[in-house]
Amino acid sequence: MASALEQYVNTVQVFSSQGNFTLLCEHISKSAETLAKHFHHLDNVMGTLNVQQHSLGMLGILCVKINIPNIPDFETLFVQTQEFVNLCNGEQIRYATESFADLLHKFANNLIERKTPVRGIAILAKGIQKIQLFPTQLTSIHAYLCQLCLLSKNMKPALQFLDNDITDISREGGNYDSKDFLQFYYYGGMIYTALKKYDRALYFFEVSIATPSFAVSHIMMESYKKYILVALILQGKVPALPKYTSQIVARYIKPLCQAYHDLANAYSTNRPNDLRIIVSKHNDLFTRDNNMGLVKQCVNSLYKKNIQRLTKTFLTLSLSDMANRVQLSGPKEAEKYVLHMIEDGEIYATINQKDGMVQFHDNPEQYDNSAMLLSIGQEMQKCMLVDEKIKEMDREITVNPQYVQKSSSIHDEDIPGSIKIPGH
Amino acid sequence: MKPAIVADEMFPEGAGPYMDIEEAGGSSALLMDLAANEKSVHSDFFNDFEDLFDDEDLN
Amino acid sequence: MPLPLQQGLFQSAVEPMQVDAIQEENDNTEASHNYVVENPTLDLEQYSAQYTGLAKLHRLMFVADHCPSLRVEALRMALSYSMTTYNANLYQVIHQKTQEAITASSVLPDAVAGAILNTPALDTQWIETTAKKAALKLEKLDTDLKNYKSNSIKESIRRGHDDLGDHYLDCGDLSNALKCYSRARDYCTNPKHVVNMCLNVIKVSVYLQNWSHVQSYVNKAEATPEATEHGKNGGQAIQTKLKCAAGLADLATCKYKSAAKYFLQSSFDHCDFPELISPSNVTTYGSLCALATFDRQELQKNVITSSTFKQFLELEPQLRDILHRFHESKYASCLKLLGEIKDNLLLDMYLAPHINTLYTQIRNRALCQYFSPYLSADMRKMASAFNTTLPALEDELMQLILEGQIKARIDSHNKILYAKDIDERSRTFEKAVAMGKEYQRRSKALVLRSAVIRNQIHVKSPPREAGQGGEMSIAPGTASSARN
Repeated sequence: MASALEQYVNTVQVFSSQGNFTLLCEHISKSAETLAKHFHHLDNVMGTLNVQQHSLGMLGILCVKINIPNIPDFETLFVQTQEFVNLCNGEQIRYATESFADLLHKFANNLIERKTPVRGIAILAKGIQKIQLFPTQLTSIHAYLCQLCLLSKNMKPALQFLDNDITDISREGGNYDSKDFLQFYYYGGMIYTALKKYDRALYFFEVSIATPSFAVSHIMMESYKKYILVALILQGKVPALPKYTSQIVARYIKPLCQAYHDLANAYSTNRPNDLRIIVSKHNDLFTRDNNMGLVKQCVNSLYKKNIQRLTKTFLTLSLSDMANRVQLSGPKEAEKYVLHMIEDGEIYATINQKDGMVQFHDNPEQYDNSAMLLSIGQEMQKCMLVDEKIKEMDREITVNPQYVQKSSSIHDEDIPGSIKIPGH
Repeated sequence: MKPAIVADEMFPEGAGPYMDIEEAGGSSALLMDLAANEKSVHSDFFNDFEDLFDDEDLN
Repeated sequence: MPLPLQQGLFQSAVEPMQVDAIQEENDNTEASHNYVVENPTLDLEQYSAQYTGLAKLHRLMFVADHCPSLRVEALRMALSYSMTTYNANLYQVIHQKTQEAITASSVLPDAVAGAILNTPALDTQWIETTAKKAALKLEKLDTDLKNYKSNSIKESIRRGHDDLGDHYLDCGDLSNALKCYSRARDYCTNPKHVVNMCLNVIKVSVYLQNWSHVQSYVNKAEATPEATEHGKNGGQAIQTKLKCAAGLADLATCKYKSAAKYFLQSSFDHCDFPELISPSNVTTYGSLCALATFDRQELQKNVITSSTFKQFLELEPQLRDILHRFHESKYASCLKLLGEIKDNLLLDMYLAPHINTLYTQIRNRALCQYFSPYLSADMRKMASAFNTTLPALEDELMQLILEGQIKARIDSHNKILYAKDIDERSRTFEKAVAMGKEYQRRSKALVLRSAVIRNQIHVKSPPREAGQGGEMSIAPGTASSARN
């Protein structure tokens, strides 16, 4: 082995045993070029290092390997990376979070190029857990994991990360970028949408759209389009965005999404025929945006919404009347919708096939059983926990010396340190 | 009179341009610039997923 | 002078499936206001005699705009009246309209029609003279005011401003009139002056259709102590005037119930302000708004058996009839009568924009009241009681149920309407659970946003130079490589 490489190994071993990781990181940065020159020997070098004790050293090498254009033997690198991620020492690599993250980004990209995204899912998932300081911390790897899941249509592995509400963001040496953030929430929203968890999907898209911004982000724009569609499917209308949403959205993004606004407006007339006209008018655009599937779901949801309105006003109704009112093609199609909705628990009804009559019932939930009470109790607990968290955050600011200084220099009678909670 | 302080001002590391994040009229020059030059970012972000939400295949 | 009318003029009773149709606020297209009334039974002379000043002119012009059969007559009346004012501009406008109307209504070629049909010639002499007179008077008033100011006699200055305001009003310069009247504020030395100033501002604001102004000055006047006490210095007249102005403002801004209350508080004996509205108007506006928004008890107590409103109702026997029939649940004939007076109401400039809404509300109220004593009702009978078809009734009922105005369900199979109690307890639980979820969602969003801001996550403009960097990094080309 070249002496430069020997020196590298030595330094790694020495600094690692001393626990001098900051210095080690510096050294490794400086060695990057050298390592790159000797890339043929890198596998050997890796062989002399211990993945647990010399995690940083190995990371340095892997980063060099993954940055080589036209990686000669990807399969080996794959296995090495997999092993590394599974076995490395989390404490060490947290000295170089951005490099670790970057390794996994490039790793994921390579898999995507080779059209085998599914292979990276478990590895990235593990990687996230290694550099996270706590489970509600967001890293840049999150977005890549979601991307892999979406590409391989295997959504479930991402859920363990998506379901955790984020409370902090990993800086990754200042590298964490708004793009990572937006992508996480956009892809996350898409995952939830694919799983038909529309409520959570809507929340994710909303987060993306409400991110502070001084320029138009295409990710934000795509989030906005899906936000509209999912809102229509879920609630039948598009709710207002949070007050803290950037002006950019209203000024630049909304006008660029006119077709979607047209759709929402047509939807609000409750007339499926009007909606269909808009859909065919903008067919090409929706298809180009890969949103046609959602648009079709919107159309279906309008029929469902109209049927639900009928349940609030009728006790009995004939299937053909229903078809007329809701603009379905005929009693057969109406029956199909009603059956599906009964199965999905979206309405409570029975169909009398003999005379083609539908009878609507009330929601049988009487809120008087133990299961419901338990569930309500649990919800209350969750609310209280969240409330505690917010109070805690408020307290922290109140005692922050800079804040105290600033607020005492402004003359006013109000109690300082109260956070304005939107909508309260 | 409510204090003009918002939580975000309290976090240091570069007061500079970030002070204006919540300001209503903020960065209008920037927006003009944007409009004039149509500057947008992230235009190359990965969004090539096929249509994952088309139910009709399942029916 | 095109007067802005409210949208929704000819919105028929809302179609059944259009519950949530978005209605745009659109107050500047003439197209939606181009309705025409064919068969009014309005006696124009009598109508016009109830008003003075701009009120008369505005109303006549409104009638002219919307009623071809009365157009020429209305414009002629407006024309001759305008010559008693200093308003040369309006005179010219009216004259133009009159000419157009006359020639349009005849089959003869313009030139001939003009001569034969006695189109009044444009009296340019009068215009010049009036303009001169107006200018002279203005100069004099201005000078007087300057003198008063240099003498610092508050009362004279106040009167000076008022006189100036009056003159501007007479000339049709409403914004200057408003300014002058408002300036009198600083020179008021007793409550009476304040009230006087308020009334002037209110008057001009009504002509300008600046309703929020009207509201705030009514409040101001009412808050002035002593000035509006009963029996003192015409206090009741002032009270009534203020109530009517407030009612008018509320009507114009669609606060029908509140408008009704104001009108019903008017005193018949003190209802004398032809520059604002007529007692007949008070009756009509008050009755219709009450019908649309009061429940049975309120209607009974405040309108039908009201001793104060009785005299108003005697002015409009048709409305009195309508009220009584409504109260006696004779809905079919009541609605029929309403239909008969609709044409005339559409010629009232303040009421016209709201007629359809009010009528729909009255009809809905009738439907609800009809059904209220029943556990179940035969929809066929109901349809004939309301002079409509079964399907149409079903649609109307559906609408009312969705809006929560009727608590019922339709048995479409047997065509029976069943009363239905909402389970409040379950609803409360539902709401509580939903509220809890909403709270959690917002709080989590807040925590996240705090993290975003703390870490300075925001979308930056595309960078002009190569990126940041300078941070420790192990691998080459990580920091600023294609990240943006």
